[in-house]
Amino acid sequence: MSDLLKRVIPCLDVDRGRVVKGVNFRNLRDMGDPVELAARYEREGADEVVFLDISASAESRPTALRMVRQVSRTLSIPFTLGGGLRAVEDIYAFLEAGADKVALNTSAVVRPELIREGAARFGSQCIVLAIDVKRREDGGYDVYTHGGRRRSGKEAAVWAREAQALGAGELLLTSMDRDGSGLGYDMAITGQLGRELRIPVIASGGANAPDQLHEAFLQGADAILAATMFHSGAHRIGDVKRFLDRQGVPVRLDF
Amino acid sequence: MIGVLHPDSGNLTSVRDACARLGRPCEILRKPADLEGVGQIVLPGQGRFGAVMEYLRRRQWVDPLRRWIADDKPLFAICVGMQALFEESEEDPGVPGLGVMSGRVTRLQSPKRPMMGWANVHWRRDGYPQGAAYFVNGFVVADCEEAVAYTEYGARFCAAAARGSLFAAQFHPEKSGAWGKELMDRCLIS
Repeated sequence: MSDLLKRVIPCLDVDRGRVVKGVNFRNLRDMGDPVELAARYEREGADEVVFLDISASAESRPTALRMVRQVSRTLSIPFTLGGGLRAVEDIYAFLEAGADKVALNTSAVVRPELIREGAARFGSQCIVLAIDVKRREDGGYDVYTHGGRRRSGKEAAVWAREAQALGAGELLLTSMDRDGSGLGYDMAITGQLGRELRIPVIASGGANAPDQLHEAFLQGADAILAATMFHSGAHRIGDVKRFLDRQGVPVRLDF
Repeated sequence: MIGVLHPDSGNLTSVRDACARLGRPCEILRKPADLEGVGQIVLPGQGRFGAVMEYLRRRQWVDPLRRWIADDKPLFAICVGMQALFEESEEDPGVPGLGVMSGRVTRLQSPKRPMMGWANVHWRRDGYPQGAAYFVNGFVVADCEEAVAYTEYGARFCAAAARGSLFAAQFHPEKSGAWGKELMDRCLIS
């Protein structure tokens, strides 16, 4: 018996304080104010919210911090901030502003010790490792960094295990092949890591239908991340969770 | 006035923001002298049991907190703040807790560690809202005399405990959505 529930997490890509949507970071469309959208998702049943600052740079930092501060005042569910965190001081600044977790991607590949330092100082529970992966012909998965522009040379499963050992508390695994495709999550790698790792694994990239979420949970994902599917208005989070509940997936329905 | 004890180890911001959303302004307690005029202490806690206890000891909070609880003044403890009320923890053996409740904190033998996410809370006492809470923890109190709610993940453990004016939650009510708001509204002084 377990009382733990599966999580449904909307992801908001944020560029200079606005939610944007695009394919491979191109043709960005303004989707509104991140705080308002996140508050709506909370009311609709989101279990957490992830904000990815895609413009992350030294200049965008103050805008991102202001957003996090405002989100913390508004939301009463946990939220994660990712994008451009390079040092322990960056992690501290965002946690202090009210973020519950930070997602590390490129910076952790460049300097894996950042995971250990962040976990030692703030606890594993607030260090999420984000990995962008692409499938190879031989069935392995390459880790990409810099918003998917650079192949790092790391093997996804090896890097995920290393990050877990360094103290990452959660894995956000995005399939670049599936991202924007609507074909559903890449469950070969997500399922493998979901079953193998002792930290929770969040499936990401490719979802646009509730049955794909159901499949991800069946295959071993602890949580799912989706953006377009919710932003487009095609699916409301509450309806998706009620669907999952009918399929026998334990989800939170009292919101 | 509500006073939030600064345990030097975590997310004080979300507790303060949650109090503000409930229209309960709070002040930060940095030293026992700050208790002047405070009607309820909120004891949050993230990170390690040992680090929280070390902070409480260094800032000379141990005796004032024990006295506060012995006098049955309102206290609301969250997560490691709840664990600190017990005698000791498997997380940091040899470090004594506040010992105002009997029992020890043990490692949760859960499928995934830390336990992270929403889980149903089963109350053993009337008057609390039914629903799910947000948990982030690798250690728990399996059971205690004051237990008022249980949750199961790998094993059953005490999700909340209450005694007189003291309420302690293993979960994070400040992050538990509308349900958490309702619970805090009930447990915090106005």
